Amino acid sequence: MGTLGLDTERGLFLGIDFGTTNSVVSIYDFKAGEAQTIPIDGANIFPTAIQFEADPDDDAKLTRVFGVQAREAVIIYPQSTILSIKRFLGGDEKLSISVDEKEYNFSPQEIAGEILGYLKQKADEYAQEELNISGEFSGCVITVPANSTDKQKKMTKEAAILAGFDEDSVYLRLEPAASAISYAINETSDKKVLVYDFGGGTFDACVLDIKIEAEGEPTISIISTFGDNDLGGNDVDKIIMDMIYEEFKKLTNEEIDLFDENADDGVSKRQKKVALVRLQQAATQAKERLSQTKSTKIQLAPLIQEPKIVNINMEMSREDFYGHRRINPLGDKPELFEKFAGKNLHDLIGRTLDCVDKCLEAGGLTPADIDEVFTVGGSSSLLLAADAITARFNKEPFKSRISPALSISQGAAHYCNMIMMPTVRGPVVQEKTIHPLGLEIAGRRFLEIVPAGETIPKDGLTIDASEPLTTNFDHVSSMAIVVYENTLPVSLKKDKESQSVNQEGMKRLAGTSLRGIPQGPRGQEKVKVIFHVGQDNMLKVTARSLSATGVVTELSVDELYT
Amino acid sequence: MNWKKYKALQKKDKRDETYFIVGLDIGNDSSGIAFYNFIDNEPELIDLSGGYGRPTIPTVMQYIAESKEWVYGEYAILNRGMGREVTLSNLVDRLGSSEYIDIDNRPVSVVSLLSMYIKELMSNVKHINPKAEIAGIVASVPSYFSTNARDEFVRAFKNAGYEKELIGLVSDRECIYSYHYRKRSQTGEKTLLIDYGSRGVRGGVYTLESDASTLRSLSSLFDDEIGTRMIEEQVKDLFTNYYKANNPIQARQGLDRNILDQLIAFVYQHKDILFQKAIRNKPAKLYFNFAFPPFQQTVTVEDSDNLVEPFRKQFNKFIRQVLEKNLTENITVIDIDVVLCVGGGFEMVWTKEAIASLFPQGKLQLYKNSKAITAMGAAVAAAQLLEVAEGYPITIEDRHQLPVDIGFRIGDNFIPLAECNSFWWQPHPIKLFIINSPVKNEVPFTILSRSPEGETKTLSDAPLKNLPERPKGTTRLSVQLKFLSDREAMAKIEDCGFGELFPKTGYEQEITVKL
Repeated sequence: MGTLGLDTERGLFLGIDFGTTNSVVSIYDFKAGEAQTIPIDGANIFPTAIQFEADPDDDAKLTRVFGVQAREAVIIYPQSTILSIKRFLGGDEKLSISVDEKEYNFSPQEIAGEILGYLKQKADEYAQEELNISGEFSGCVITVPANSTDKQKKMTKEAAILAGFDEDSVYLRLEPAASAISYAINETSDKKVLVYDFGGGTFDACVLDIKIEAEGEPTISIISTFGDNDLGGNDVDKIIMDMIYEEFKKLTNEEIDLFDENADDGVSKRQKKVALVRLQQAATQAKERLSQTKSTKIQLAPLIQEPKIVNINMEMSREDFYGHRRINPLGDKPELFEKFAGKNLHDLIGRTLDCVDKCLEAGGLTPADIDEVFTVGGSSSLLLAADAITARFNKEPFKSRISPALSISQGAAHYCNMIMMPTVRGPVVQEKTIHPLGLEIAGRRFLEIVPAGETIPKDGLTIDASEPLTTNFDHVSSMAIVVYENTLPVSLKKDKESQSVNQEGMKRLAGTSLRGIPQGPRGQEKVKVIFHVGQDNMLKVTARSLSATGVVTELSVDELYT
Repeated sequence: MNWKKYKALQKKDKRDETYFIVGLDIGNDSSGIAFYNFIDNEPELIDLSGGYGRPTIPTVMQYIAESKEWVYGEYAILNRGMGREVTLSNLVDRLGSSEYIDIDNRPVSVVSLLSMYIKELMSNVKHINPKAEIAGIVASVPSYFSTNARDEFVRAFKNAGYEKELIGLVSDRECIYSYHYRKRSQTGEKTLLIDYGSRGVRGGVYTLESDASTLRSLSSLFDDEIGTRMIEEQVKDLFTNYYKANNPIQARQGLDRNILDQLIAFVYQHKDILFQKAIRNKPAKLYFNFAFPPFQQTVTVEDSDNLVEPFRKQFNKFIRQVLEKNLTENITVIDIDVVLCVGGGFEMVWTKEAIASLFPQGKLQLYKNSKAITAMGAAVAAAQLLEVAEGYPITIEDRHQLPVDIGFRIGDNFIPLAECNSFWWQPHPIKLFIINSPVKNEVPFTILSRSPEGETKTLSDAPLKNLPERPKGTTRLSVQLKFLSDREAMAKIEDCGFGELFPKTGYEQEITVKL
């Protein structure tokens, strides 16, 4: 019998790094005193992919294929396979798949829930069969990007509940903090560390303050974070995709548009989908090869067969790859493509360094204040990224002693340990608010309620607005409650009194109306606003009319998106 | 070996994270690297894949002529067919013979090539800590390594920038046992070591002597017919057949090099699917995405069982033989205290099941990273030699290994047929020689042993009889030594002919040698 199930009331907890491209799950092994990655289908890294098939026994049902097999099936069954679901979390778009010409629609959290459910099932089996532990994982710690929106977090949590984890036992923690635990576990001295987390779909920079307490255990505080939720390895792949697509356009005299399914160019919808997936996989493989060699070949022979055979045979050098500026949208929405149009890899890496700079500024730091930089995420292995970090900080980056690909998940497992065994010694993460949070008040001004860097206690941080809001007009019965986050670095922030919600860096998080306020003259009705920030950095805002007949609304910030 | 450098460092704080004590295992199939963690007092494996795959990497390097650059490990396999490349493997086995390999019309010594590979492997320590300073390295070497091979190995380290003083060579078995006994010393314990590697399976029974650091070998065998390389060949045939069945036109015309290279990479990436537990519950699907049109192939548990069955039978037979063919009385399953299961072969479910059925009493020591145990043990041995870790590295006394060279004499030259430290069951290379005098029927031929100190002893001076008559310098013969047991060997001499002038005659003679 293993020693994992110590808190029988709460059950077992699983640490999950739910990534855009790959996911990893880990547990904390009390016996060995260390986090351990659970292999899923024989490998530590599990591709975040799902494919649907018709159930051979029941036409009305679907069966699911996960992981490596799903990722590979996408070339043959692109219409029934979903990759990179994390990019859809936070949106309202339904995902449509087609199996045997029947259409099915799923919400992003349903798909994410299916994948998480599979990870849970495999982890349960592993714990029982290999670790000899009875019971199953009822709780989990799922990591989310440091800069994810509340809606993304909420949908991630919903997905975990759909996967079969207990609602009260799903915890969200920030990815850089989780990887920092993995790193800090071996630390013996105080340090300020920058985490450069360049994953498949997102980039996060995060400065951590590691202090070694008298007992020798590290305490980790997040000083600042800054990131880009639409910048990841997938966008790097698209530079190579773009180069191949340019070749394709040349070979077809621009008569075929693979991205327009309805274009009357003689290529079937299915053939286009298959060609695009092959294009994408060839680009990913070429990127990996170019991290090792100065040049590589790309052979897609043929890429399409009808209305004519188009063979891609390209020689691509690392220099070409680094220098190529993106020309085609490649299926990106216009607002996203605007960000990448005309940009090359140097620009993308430059963008990550901008985030790093803003992260340092937000913490009032300079590169010289950073003792060590360590890299996390698959895209951080790009040579250009390592060179850029070395140049900026005048020191080479560390890879974590445990693998960069596993450190987030293993950190999540350490979080599980803290939840299951709060009294046991180990690294402690002091959760802090990252950016100031506040409300829009009259004159489009920003009223800061929760300052940055405030420690979040175990039960969450509750702060009342310093002054109640008042009605701006006579006889109104409702009041807009609009929540903003000030993501601007410290040095660029204006003084609190003169901040406007229109200024650069202000992010509108949520908004709703408090309805049913007793009507009266302007300024008579007062509304008290309370902000509550949980340890997962999720925000709940309560607005209460202070009159005797007043109303209360517990506004969830996510109502903005509904 | 001189550990002067580290001894100086040792006076400093042992927990200083910039000093690395490293264990290296450069095997013929894969390589692993570990360091000794002062905090936990345990060896720690460096995951060479960055977590994306296996922690060890294939011992393969590749030269790409177009860009005049080298790639290593997995990329060298996946990169096949991308250009005019030269792919090299089995580098360690080529040591000791001063071999040169043609790289893009340039002869490059195996020592130089290996030094590049070592440099690449060691760079992973810098990845963990850019300020890392190497304080000592133990590299594991095959137990049968000759003195020449050892010298060349050390030279490869020197070329890679690591001074002789930093390097210690410890045999692979000793590394494995240094790991096994790192925190315990069970004197009298009888262990069965099964090392399932790419070239074959090696098995031996050992007992720990009362000094707690010497292991005595009771039995030692090797089977070169069931290595993982042979299994991989079968998988390659199976996948190639799938490909041919789905591409009959190409199959008829013959598969081109590009497809064959893609198949090799595909086998490397997907072979494990056949040997995992999951296939028992549900057939696995293989997606041949490199083909056009891409196709899907279902693989069932029956396909897997059919492929594995001959290997399973041979494996079971081999384990029984290891117990039966020993230097003492019959060893039975009950006599074995622990079975150590190391090597890549134990990543397959069937090997674990096979060994578990042979030892149902649960004496098995299975490892999460069975391929990496040698590297971990090398790190332990390094730390022990530097007196950072408790205990002494294990040494093995093995009567199955030759304590001397055995060879023959031509003029004043001693030509070795079997080198000191090699095992009696090991295949020994064929040696060719030319008789530099006219041959008339009979030629004197002396087989002798040579001790490490250089003392020789005649084992046989039976002459070569009934040789075909030939002028001076035109009698070319081959000799190979084959051991019949640990006490008896046979030298087989054959006529190789001399060009068109003197074709082979079919002459052969066997000389038995008692040891």
